Amino acid sequence: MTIETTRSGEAVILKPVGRMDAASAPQFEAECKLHIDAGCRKLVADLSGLTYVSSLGLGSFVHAAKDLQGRGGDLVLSGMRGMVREVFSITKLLQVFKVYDTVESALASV
Amino acid sequence: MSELPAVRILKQPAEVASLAPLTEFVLETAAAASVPEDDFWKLELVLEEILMNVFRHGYPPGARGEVEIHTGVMAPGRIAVEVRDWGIAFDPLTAAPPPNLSERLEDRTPGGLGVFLTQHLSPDCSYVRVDGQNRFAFSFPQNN
Repeated sequence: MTIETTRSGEAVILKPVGRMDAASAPQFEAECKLHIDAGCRKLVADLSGLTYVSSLGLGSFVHAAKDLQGRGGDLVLSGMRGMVREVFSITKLLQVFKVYDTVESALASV
Repeated sequence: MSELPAVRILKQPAEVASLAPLTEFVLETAAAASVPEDDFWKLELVLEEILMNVFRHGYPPGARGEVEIHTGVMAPGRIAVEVRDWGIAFDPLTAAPPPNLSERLEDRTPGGLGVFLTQHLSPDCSYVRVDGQNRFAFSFPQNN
């Protein structure tokens, strides 16, 4: 998995590309923490390039979102597709997170 | 279906680096059994959850342990998988209470979803302790 990072105003957009499994999830969690600790309070995760997510990956999203929420910020998700959307759906995390079809609509919400 | 021995076995160190080769090994069996590739992710998820339980809980920190996978074709489109380790007795199916999926984000915990996903995708999964081994078995897919 690689993570592409871009900025839009106050928001940081993280785009993990590839597989987020037990081996790579800590990398995403660390990247989120880096930006949150640096003061970022608006984080968008663009999941359009994610092809696989396991429970460890789901845990990374929950962890980052709770961290941000506790500091008055927000993590929103966009571009979810295929098995990634299905796993979020099975675990009812689709109802827990703010989920948008595109990065643009996600950015407009934060 | 290509020809494979009835049961194939692969032993690897019980560490995260073994996740990819062990997964690849089981997917080879799935491909040989003509399991639809669109369903491979379900198999990968179940396998990852079981293996991570072994890697995290099977052996004391710092101890070198091993994990072994037995897999075979049960019928066209259906395979059997058994994960064995020689670590401490650990039944992942009963180790933690089921997660409450109706909780809001602030009440969710980052963990706990692995066993739920395993049981959702592989309802016939089972755990036994035999001869000092943990054995976790399941078939895939379920509804053939």
